[in-house]
Amino acid sequence: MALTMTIKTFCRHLGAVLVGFTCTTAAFAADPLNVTGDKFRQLDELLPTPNTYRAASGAPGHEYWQQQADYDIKVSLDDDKQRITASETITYKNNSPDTLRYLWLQLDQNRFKPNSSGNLAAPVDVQSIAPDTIPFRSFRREVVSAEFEGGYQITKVADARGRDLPHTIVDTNMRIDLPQPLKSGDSATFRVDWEYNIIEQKALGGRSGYEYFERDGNYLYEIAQWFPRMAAYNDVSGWQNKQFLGRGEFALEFGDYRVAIEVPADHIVASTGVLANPQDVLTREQRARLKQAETAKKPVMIVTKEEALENEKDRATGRKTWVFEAENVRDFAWASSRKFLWDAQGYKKGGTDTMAMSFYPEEGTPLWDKYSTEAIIHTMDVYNRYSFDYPYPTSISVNGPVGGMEYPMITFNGPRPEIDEEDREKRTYSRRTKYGLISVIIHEVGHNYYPMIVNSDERQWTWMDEGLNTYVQFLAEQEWEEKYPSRRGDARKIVEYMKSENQVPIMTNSESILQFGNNAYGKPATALNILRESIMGRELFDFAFREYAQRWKFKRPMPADFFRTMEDASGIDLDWFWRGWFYTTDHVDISIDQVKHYTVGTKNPDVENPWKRERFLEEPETVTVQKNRANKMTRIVDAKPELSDFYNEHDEFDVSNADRNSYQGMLEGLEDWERDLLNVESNVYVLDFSNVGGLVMPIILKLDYSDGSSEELRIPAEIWTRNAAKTSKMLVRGKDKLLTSVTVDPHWEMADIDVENNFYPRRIIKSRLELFKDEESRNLMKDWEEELKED
Amino acid sequence: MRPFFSKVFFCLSLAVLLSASQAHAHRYHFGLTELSVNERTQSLEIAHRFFVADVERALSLSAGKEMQDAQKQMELYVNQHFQMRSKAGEVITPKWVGVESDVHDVWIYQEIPLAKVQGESFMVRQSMLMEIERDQVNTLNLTRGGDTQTFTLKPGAGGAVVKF
Ligand SMILES: [Zn+2]
Repeated sequence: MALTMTIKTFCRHLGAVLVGFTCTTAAFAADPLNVTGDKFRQLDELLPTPNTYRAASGAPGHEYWQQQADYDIKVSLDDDKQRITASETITYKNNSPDTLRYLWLQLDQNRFKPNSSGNLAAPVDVQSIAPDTIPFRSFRREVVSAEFEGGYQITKVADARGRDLPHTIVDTNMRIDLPQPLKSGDSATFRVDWEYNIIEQKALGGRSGYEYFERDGNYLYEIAQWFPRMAAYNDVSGWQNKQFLGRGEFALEFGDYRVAIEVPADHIVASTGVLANPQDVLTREQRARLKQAETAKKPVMIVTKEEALENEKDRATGRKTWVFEAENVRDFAWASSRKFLWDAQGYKKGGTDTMAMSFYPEEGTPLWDKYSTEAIIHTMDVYNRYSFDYPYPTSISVNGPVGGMEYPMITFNGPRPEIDEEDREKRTYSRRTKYGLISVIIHEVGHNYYPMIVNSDERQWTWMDEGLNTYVQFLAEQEWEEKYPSRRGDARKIVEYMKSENQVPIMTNSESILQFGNNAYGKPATALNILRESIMGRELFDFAFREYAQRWKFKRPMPADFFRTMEDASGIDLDWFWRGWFYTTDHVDISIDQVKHYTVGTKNPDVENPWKRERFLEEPETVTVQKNRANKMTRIVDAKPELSDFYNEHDEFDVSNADRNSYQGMLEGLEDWERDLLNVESNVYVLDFSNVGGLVMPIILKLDYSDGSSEELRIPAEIWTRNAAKTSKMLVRGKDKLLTSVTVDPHWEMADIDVENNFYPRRIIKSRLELFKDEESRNLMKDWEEELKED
Repeated sequence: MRPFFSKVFFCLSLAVLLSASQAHAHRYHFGLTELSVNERTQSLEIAHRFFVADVERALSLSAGKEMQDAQKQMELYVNQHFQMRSKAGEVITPKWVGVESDVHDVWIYQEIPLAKVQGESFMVRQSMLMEIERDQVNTLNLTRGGDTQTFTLKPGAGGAVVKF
């Protein structure tokens, strides 16, 4: 017998097994967007009404439009003053149905003005370490922020004929008032001149800046958010002119660029776009190597380490201008230094024909030459399969001060090996640095797909680029090597976050997000992975996800377009999933509360009565009976046998002929199929579950039987439709299948936050701290920086 | 400004030297401290989880550092930043259990006998990493039975009053 199961009842007839479930509406907290109630209700009232711009299927509507902004820029880099001077001509095409009286531009560098909203709103921590001290780094940032003359100096805003245009700067935005309103279908061309001081990245942070190398006195520049650029204007938000406070990133328009970058003659420039004048800036040798790299099987050095070391010793007096052209990009970034090594390898597959390239100072070796370009190609290989063929002609990874940041065709990535200052040839890198570099390159190169091409509004929705990208990043990491240490993706990695109370839903504006990394990266990436592996299945999920990417490449999707496309292309109703995972902060905690065991009552008194007797004898004796026996109690019927009769010889379980006759009579009154059912020798189990966490999810079960066998059962989330708080499942199993234990979510695929109630009967689960203590002779911090590697 | 200087340099020598280690690749700064009541072992279990890279920067640890030293340094650092003060003003220093890490995160373990805190209220401060990141957010989770109570700590926020 199943040792730990409770036998609550056995049934007189089968009908009794079909327990009627009562429905109660459970009210859960954790629902700031007020979407509780029916957890399976369609999202209709939460999503915008479809229109001619955005269709109900989740595809762009038949009148979908977006603006176009083309740039022609001349920029000069001052290597002595770390300063940018530039001039641009913007041609802005109004494809909207609206007439525009003014245009908004983004002045991102103004975030570094001492009195920017971003700076003024930042708190400082003065309470740590010891009373009345200011931490050094906070102090340094405050001092540098206060002294640094950051932000744009806009020196000219003029129309195509050079006449000044009235303009108003509002913190990190600028409004230009047009002399004539810009009608639908018309273009406006105007000019902006500006200058600014490049920030020292390590002092002020941010997504660009310079790094100074004390040893050789050289600078390395990673230049981004460097030109006044059009704010996005779209059918959902109108002008997206929310201020740039530092966290909510960018909302941008596609356009074509021609950028002439003037730098010291001995600098190497890496940039968005294709180099239009290689004969002016590259040696014959470098051009030949680039040609060779197109078809190479591994990266070819365009500038070798020796050449770069030679180059960084001198200072050229002349200047050179590198001209880059880029089509259909939403942004433009570049990097420049005389320290750069440069390697390249062509990648051609499907519709992709591109050059993967890496630029890094010698301080990046021996890590960058080994992994950077390979990681770029690997990223495209995987992302192409799940999204679309990478369409741009180059994909670049640059090593500099920025930890990790993405721009069209170019990414900035931070990790470097450790250098022994006594012996500079002695270099090591830890596991953490190695996988940190590969992961950050996959992540940033992956951003080319989301949001550089699938152009979501980052200022508003961080999850649409970070969440989707982190999800595909996980797939690419797992294809790098077995057991790749991915930070995010697996359900079990998000459990601690899901358990916390101080969450906001994924559908929260970027600047208001709490626990940014978990909310906008980890939770959506994990949700998508669960959807793929445990709910939709890989085939349906992959088709739908790819359809979303295909529909929205080079366009601007909104959250509803993603939700709708995933359902439209897969044919699966996922509203309950979006509702729970994206609009609430509920978590998964499914408890198995009880297992009831039933066997079929045959009604045959010759079968049933002995069985009832057995059950009766299994009951423990009462204390009274035990004590009476111990006291050798004498009974009156023993002393006077004449008081005994028929009933003293037969207990209540003995079968009488009257019982048998009534059984036969009953059988005759039954239909054949009813008679057959009475002879089914099955074990019937009813499993009771409760939804402690609030999120409705499939119930994955492992059932163990007394014969040593086990079985896995996957019950769809729809089991919760009638009652989202409590549900039961009936299982009919063969007569030998005696259930011994039940495990909910045996593979930890649901992010269930409390494992203890996943077992019936309950098991004791050790805490992380207990497990840590258990591991004897544990090598302290063994993974911290082990496996140091030398080259 | 001037009066601050000596103290600022004190901090500098103690902890925060910007080492050559790379900048972090994330634009969010987050730590988690789990306070779990373990009735079975009659212990208040404390587990702090932080990004390895951030802790490394805070302690100026580098790859070559002797790990025994690092552990001592970390204990000192944690005890400075994670504090539990009773209503009477008494500061309880949890017992040090140990540290472990993978390539992403570091877990720091401490514990206190349950009897010492049960039924009492404490002002709990967790300001680790707030001295290096002004947007550092530390979350305190108090788990008891199946319930979790959460407190959010940000720079300048003081502490949270937690009843055990
Ligand atoms: Zn990202």
